[in-house]
Amino acid sequence: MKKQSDNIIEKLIKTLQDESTDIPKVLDLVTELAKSDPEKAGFSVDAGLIDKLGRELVARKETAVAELVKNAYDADAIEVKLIFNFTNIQGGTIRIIDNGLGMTREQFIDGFMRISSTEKVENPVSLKYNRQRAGRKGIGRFAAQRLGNKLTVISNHDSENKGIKATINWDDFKSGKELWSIRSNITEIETSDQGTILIIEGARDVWTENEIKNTYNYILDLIQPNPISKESTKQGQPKDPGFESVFTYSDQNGSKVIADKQSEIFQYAIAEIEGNVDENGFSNWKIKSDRLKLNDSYKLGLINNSESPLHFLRDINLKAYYFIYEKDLMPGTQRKGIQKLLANKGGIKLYRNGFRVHPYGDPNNDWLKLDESAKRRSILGPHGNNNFLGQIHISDIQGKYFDETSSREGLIENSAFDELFNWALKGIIHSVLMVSEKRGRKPKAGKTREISPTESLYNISNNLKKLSNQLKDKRADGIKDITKKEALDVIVSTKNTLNEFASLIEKTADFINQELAEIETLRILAGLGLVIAEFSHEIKVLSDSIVVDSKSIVENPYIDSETRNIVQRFLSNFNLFKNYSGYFNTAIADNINRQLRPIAIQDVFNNFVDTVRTSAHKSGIEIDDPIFNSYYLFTIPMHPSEWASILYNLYTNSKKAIIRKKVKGRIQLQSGIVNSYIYVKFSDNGDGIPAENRDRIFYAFFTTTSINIPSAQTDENILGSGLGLKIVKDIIENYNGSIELVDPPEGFSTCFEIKIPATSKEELKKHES
Amino acid sequence: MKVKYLFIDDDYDTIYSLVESIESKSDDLEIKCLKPEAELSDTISKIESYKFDGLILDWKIDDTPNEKGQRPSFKTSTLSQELRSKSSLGDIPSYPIIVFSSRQNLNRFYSKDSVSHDLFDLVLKKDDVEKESEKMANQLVSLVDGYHTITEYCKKTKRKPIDLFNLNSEYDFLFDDERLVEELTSDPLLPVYNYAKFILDQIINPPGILIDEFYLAARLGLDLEKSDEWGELVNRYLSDFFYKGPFHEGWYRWWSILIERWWLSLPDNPGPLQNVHAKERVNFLVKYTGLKHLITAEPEDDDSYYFWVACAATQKPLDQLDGFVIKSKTRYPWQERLYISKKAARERIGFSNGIKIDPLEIDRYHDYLKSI
Repeated sequence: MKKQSDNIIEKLIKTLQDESTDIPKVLDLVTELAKSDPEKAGFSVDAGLIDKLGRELVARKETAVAELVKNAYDADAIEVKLIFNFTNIQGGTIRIIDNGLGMTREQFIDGFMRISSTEKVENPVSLKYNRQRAGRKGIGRFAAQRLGNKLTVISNHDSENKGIKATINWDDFKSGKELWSIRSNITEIETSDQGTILIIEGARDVWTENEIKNTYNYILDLIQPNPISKESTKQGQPKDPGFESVFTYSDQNGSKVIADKQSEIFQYAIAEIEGNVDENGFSNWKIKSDRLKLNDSYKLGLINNSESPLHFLRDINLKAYYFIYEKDLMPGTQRKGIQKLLANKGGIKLYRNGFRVHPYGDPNNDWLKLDESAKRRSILGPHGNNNFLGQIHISDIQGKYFDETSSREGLIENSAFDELFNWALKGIIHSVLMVSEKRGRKPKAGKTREISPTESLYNISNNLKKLSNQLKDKRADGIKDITKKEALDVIVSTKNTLNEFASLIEKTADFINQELAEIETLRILAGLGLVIAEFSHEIKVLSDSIVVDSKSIVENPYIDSETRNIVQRFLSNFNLFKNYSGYFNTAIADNINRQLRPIAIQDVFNNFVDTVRTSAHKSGIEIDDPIFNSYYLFTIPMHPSEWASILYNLYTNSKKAIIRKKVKGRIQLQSGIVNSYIYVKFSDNGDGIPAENRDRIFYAFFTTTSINIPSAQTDENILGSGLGLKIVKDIIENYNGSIELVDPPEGFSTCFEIKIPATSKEELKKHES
Repeated sequence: MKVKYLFIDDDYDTIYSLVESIESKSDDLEIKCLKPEAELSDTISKIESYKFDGLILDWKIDDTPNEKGQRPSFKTSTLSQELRSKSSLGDIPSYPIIVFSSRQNLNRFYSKDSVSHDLFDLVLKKDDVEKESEKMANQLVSLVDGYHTITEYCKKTKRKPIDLFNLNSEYDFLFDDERLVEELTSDPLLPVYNYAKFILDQIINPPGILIDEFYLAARLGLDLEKSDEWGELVNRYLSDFFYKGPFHEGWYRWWSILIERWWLSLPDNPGPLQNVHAKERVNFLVKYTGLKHLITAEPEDDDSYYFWVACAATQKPLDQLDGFVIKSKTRYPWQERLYISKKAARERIGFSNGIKIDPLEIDRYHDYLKSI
């Protein structure tokens, strides 16, 4: 034993004395020496570990690339370029070039080359811009290993003129060797470009354009709209100018940009919105849209346009990109991608002193109540969270106004926070309205929505609770401490509040009375509906018999031609009758099943066209083949007969308009989806609806028939009751939808547009299984 | 001799015209209407007092009281079950039993009573009589003929029903699937209606071993409506492959494998049908038969010309790779899955008549709808 270690020591000395010291050999000898120690044993690391770790830590190639991009971000790069060279086949080259801080030789050796280094754990934010580091700890090198079989790192640190270049052949790391004995070349090189270049050769995977794009999506949350107006913060630290990445593919046909910040997203924004509050609390908003030729600024203070400064807000910047997913504003190929992306990444994120504050702007977080407002649809321009990509920066180093809750689950929602909320929401909504107006769209719903009695009662109840709490608080303060004046104040304010409630309750009562009158009429109609339902099946069966019998009379060779003509006429009239009754039949047959389910608009249209087309044709009205602008048209769960009711009411309406106009009628149905609302457009070429009636037609008991043809309002004409469109509107609004008159398509004079929320994928799945 | 059916309905007066309309379409068909008695046993005695070949039953027979003011106290399925049991004991012969009802009642009641489905050979919809009375008449006659044929085979010759298919070496493929052989050669012999039901539901109706006219046209690449000489082609060249087993008079089918073999036996044929572009299939057919008025079917959208199936919604030829699988009751390996074209899928043609996308295809279907 002793002999063997002596032998090794001898060799070691000899090698060290050699002029050009063979370091790998020295290492091998040292290892051997260590192993020969009869007293102690230590762990050794097999070189195959690198490969194993690479595979286990970074399973997917997209994640691997994303990790390397995140490293660039962590190194305070402003831009990273990714060039995929001939990666359409295996063995291509991927270059990742950033302009970050770069690495010194020491940083490279102690950081990059040291497995399980604690750099990132110890320094969770980046040096220069204080970025929250995004890279997973110590994954970068394995990501590089995962991607190709050779890695060249060229890096130039901020402070150096010279850089380092290291080449690592991953294939050298074979099992059976000692990890530390495998040495990679590192040389000093001349380079003036600051930053780090990774060259990954012998790519292990094939990269399609789509895969490159997907990878880009992985890192999108690193991207911030920029620049946020101000250059530096008070501490004198440079302001983060943002981070961009460009993904390029190149081969013998040249190179093309697959994805970059500009080409992917922001160029499709309809407008850029910026809001600032200066150090004196004055607020200024800017909106810019090249496409709409809009470039405007406006002030929003405490009250709209007021000149007084805000109470709490100082040094606030907001920047948001506004997206509208409509065909004319966004090419179809991009539209779906961006919509999908912003479904998760959209919204307005909040940064305090350069740090993201969660959960504001996280997926499913609606802190500015944008989604809520969009659903209410009193503002018609789309303005859900998925319509924005933006951020608000708050500078409040002392944490005077904006401080995080102790649980780190957001900011303390104090008055300053309320002011921030109001300021941001107002500014954004104002911009949305400006865009709608510029686009020639109706910015707000025509009639401000009547507050429903239940809603109003809930309001009262909430306010009463508040009042009661206030009173309780006063009591807790201790009666002794209340001055007479204060007590009087409480009494007066309580009295005022109660008076307010009284008038509110009175109003609600009036409203309920009106609703009851309507319900009365609906009850009569419902009764009628039940009678029809009761007999509809019998009518159907009898109708079939009558048709078959009259056919055999017509086909009978022994009857005279006059009789044949009469029966023939009877038959064609009867067929018309059958057609009409067929429509109730489908509506009623479906009615048996009371369960709500997502409805495919295609089914609704097919059913309508099948039953109505023949009879419409006989009345001189052609129903065009429905137009589908898209096909994923499943509504939120509804009752199938409700759609029958909607379309049949609109059809009856159109038919009257066409008869009044005395033209050859035409009706067109169209459907598509915009912003997760399914729209149905029902157009006719009748006499149109005069502007002054546009909002009134949806009111109960308003009828155009009674204006134009007073005698037409008879008992047999149910739809002359003035409830047709009201019922349609009620059905639709019951599902948070809307109906309004919009500009008709070419060749038509009236167009109703119905919007109903689309169903979610989960809901659909639930009902289809 | 005419085929005689009894039609049992509590209220046949109102639909007698429909029944009569079917009856009038065939010289070989006679239908007698009968009201059910209040009790099951009385009803059966009443039925058995007549000489008849098959039964047609209304699905809801307990709505209207009879002359004595009594409503039947049993359901149609009970009556049918009792009759099937009696025939399985050999007390009465096996004969076809058919349900006749409105689409609405079928959807509402019959479709949910799935255990009863095996009791009936055929479901006829009142709503379809106006358009399909002739087909219905043929099928009613054919059902009785088929039952006779099967009964004769089983009773007199003691041969197994599999021999019904006129087997010779050409039909070797029928023996490829043991399950098919097993079903038709079971020992001991089962009541005839079992075989009838199996042949109708598992062999004739689903495309696979046998194909209907639409599938045949798709395989040959032809547009059925535009090809004026379709009848000529079928009668002169394909009659040998026409299915001549039980029920063939009511259900026109061809042996799909024989068609393929025939094609490959033709001199200078361009190769297996499925691998040949429809235009080439038709060019070759025109050249071979000399029939000029055979027109190539055009695919919908930009779909492929390598037609193999007929769209279940539009009956138009379709390369199944272009379509979506729909839900069907395929139970055996020789039955092919059913498809609809992309166009039918996105416009949801036929969905209100019960077409449903196969659960395994739902995700792909939704992705497709979203992508367009």
